[in-house]
Amino acid sequence: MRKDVLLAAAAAVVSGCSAVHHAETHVAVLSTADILTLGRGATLDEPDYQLARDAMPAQLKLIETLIVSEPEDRNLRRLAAEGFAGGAFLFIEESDPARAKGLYLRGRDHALAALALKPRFAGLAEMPLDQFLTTLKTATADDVPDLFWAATGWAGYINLSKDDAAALAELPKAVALMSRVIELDPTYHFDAADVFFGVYYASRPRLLGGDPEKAKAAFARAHKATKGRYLMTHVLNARWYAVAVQDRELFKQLLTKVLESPSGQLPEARLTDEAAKLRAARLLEKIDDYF
Amino acid sequence: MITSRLASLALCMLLGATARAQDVKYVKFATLAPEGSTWMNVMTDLSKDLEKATGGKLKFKFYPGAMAGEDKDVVKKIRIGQLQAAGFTGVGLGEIAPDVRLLDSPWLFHDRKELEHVREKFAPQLDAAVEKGGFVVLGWTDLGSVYVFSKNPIAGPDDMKKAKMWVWEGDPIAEAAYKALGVNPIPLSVVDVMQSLQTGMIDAVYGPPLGVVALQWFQRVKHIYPVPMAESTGAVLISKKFFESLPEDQRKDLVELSAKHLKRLNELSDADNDKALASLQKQGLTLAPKPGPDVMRRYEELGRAARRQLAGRLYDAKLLDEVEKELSTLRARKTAKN
Repeated sequence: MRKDVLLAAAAAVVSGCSAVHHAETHVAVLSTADILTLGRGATLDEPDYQLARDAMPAQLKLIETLIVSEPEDRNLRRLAAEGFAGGAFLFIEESDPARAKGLYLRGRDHALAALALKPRFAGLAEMPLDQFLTTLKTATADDVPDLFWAATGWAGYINLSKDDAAALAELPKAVALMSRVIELDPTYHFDAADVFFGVYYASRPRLLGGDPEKAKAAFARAHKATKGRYLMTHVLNARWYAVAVQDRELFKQLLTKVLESPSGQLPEARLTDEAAKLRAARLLEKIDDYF
Repeated sequence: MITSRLASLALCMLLGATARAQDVKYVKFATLAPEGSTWMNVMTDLSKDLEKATGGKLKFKFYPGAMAGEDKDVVKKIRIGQLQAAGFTGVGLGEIAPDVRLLDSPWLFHDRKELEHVREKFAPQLDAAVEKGGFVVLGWTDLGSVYVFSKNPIAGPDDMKKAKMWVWEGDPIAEAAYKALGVNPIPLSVVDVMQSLQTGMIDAVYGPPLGVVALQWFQRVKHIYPVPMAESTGAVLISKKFFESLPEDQRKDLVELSAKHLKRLNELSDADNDKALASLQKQGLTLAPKPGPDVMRRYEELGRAARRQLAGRLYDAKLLDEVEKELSTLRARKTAKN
């Protein structure tokens, strides 16, 4: 049964690519997009990190190919935004930061394109800060995924561009997008907006607006919202908060818990949990570098 | 049998490693600049070259992003031997060698070239002042031209009086500049600036563009006043005691490689500051047009008064005279050439 669906998807893609001008293409593309949307869950529940990593480029290119003929399909844009920004974080950032920068930006741009389907958000990224903030106020719960992935992609890019004044000057915009997510629906994507601010406040020196207390509170909110079952939250808590306050015991405790916990306790979390376990093991090996 | 051989092998390796570890010296280096910044990228290059040149015997260990505290904490830590070197801002330089803060004094230089000229010409005096403070100069660093950023437009010196101006508490340079302008600034620590801009307790700040970007203060201001208040100078300094404990060849490597890389850092910092100023305008800040010659002449007078106030308190009056004289000569030569 499942095999049949996959075959149908493959056939639809092939016909979609080769017969762009035919009327059926539209139908084929839409159904493929729907299947891809359904397939998103399969990717996020993938238990084999390496398999997901190897499959990612082909999946992303497939999505981008479909976007060429359906640039205004919000679902496709969302898949691409999540795929590029999330993929950069899960698979690329640690091993190849220079490459991750470009992928983060592509994720951000797909999310901004999804937002721009509502005319008031057209040209959002280029607006002066004041206008940007006013426009963001008009965003609703319906926009949360796009706000979240735009912020994730943008902040991921800026974080890897600390030697670039132009990128640093864009940070308030990325932060404002994520703040709007907190206002509209902080529980989106495993309460990741709180995790974002946990990392933000823990990783910056006090001089640059860092605040370990705020970081602690943000991680605690994320922990509570996911009942401690989303393992990446603990990894980032250890890496950023525990290191910032130089709490070696907390660092060990959080990461050991990640290694000992089963992955996939929450739906659509297995792949990230597996990535969290790999990261936890690497961080524990390097504990002396951090303390 | 096998076990004992393994044990002796392990012992040899351990002893070998210890002997090598004893040969390696670390320069523990602190800076406010965060990991991944231009500053840290250049310092990392310097460290790699130094390791290569000394056969791995002299290495840097970094404490970026104010991990070891701000300037004043770092000076203390170096004096008790916890750290050996740092990239200082004017605040740290003021602790170690107040004389060199002359370089930061209000409206002294017209551009960065003049600053560089004076730093070269007066190197013996400046180096001696730093050595008297227990440090050795590995290089001067350009931190950028200091601009005023404000919520309301500032058209000239008189508008400054209307602004609720921030001053970094314990910054004698900015205090003197504001006194000359007739401004009563509000002293706060850097950490409190953002909040105070938000509440409206202050509505104007000063700093190099890159600093204002990094600190994210630009979110709360709208205007950039185009006449820099000063050219801010920092320095990479190393503990004199530690430096003198190094063998001569390592000292030479350290000095030469630092000079090479810090020169590059200054070029990059200048470009970063220019880029920051452009980015701020792209984010919606307005850079006011440069005022005419009569206003600029007023800054000359204000500067002379402010600098005089600091002489004797911060730096030597004689040194100030000499530097001002050198600058007039330099400018006269430039005018004659044109």
